[in-house]
Amino acid sequence: MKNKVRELRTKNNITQTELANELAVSRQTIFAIETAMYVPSTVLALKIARKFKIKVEEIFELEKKD
Amino acid sequence: MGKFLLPYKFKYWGAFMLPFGFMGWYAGQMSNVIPWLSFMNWGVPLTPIFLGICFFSCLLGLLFLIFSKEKIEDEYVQKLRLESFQLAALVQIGYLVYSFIKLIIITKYVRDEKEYFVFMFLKVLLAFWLVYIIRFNFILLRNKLKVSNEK
Repeated sequence: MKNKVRELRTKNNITQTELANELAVSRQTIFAIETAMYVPSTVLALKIARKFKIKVEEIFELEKKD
Repeated sequence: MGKFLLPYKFKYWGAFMLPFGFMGWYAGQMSNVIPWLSFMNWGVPLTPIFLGICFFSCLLGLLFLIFSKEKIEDEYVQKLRLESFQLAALVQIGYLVYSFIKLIIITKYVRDEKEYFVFMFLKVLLAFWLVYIIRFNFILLRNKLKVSNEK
C-alpha cells in the first residue's frame, strides 16, 4: 500500500516528532508508515486523515499486489 | 496485548537484575571462584540461598525485560512484539526438534540422561525468550538509528 504521509507532512511543514506527538504514537511509527514498512490501523489512518484534513483514500492507495 | 504488560520503569529493573543475577548464579556455580560462601558459618546453607536469589533475580529480570512496555507502546510496537513472539515460537520448535534428533544420535554417549534432559529443556525454554528479546530490540534499535538520520 502506497501512502502520501511524507509528502503531506513536508508540504504542511511538520516534523516527524510533531506529527507523532499529535497522533500519540512514536516517531518510529511515523517513519515506518512513511517508508511503507508498516500499514497503520484504521484508527490511526483516520487520525492522519483528520490531521491533514483530507480523506483517507487520498492518503492511502492500494497497489496491484494488495 | 498492552494490558498484560508491566509499566516502562520495570525495564530498568530487568536490565539491572538479569545480568547481575546471571553473573552471581554463574559465579556461585564456580565454587572455586567464591569458596568463602560455602565456608562461612552463618548457621544457614548460604550457597544454595545465594544461588537461589541470583537465579530468581535472573529469571525475574528476564520477565521484566520481556513484559514491560516501551516508552510509547503504540500499535507498531505491538505488531513488532507479536512478530517477535511468532519468530521465537518457530525457532523454539526448530531447536526442540534439533535437540531431540541430537539426543537420538548421541544417546549412548550421554552419561546422565536426566541431567541432559533438564538442561535440554532449559535451553529450549531460554531459546524462546532470547530470540524474542534479541529480535524485538534489534528491530527497535535499527529503526531508532534510521529515524535519527531523518529530519
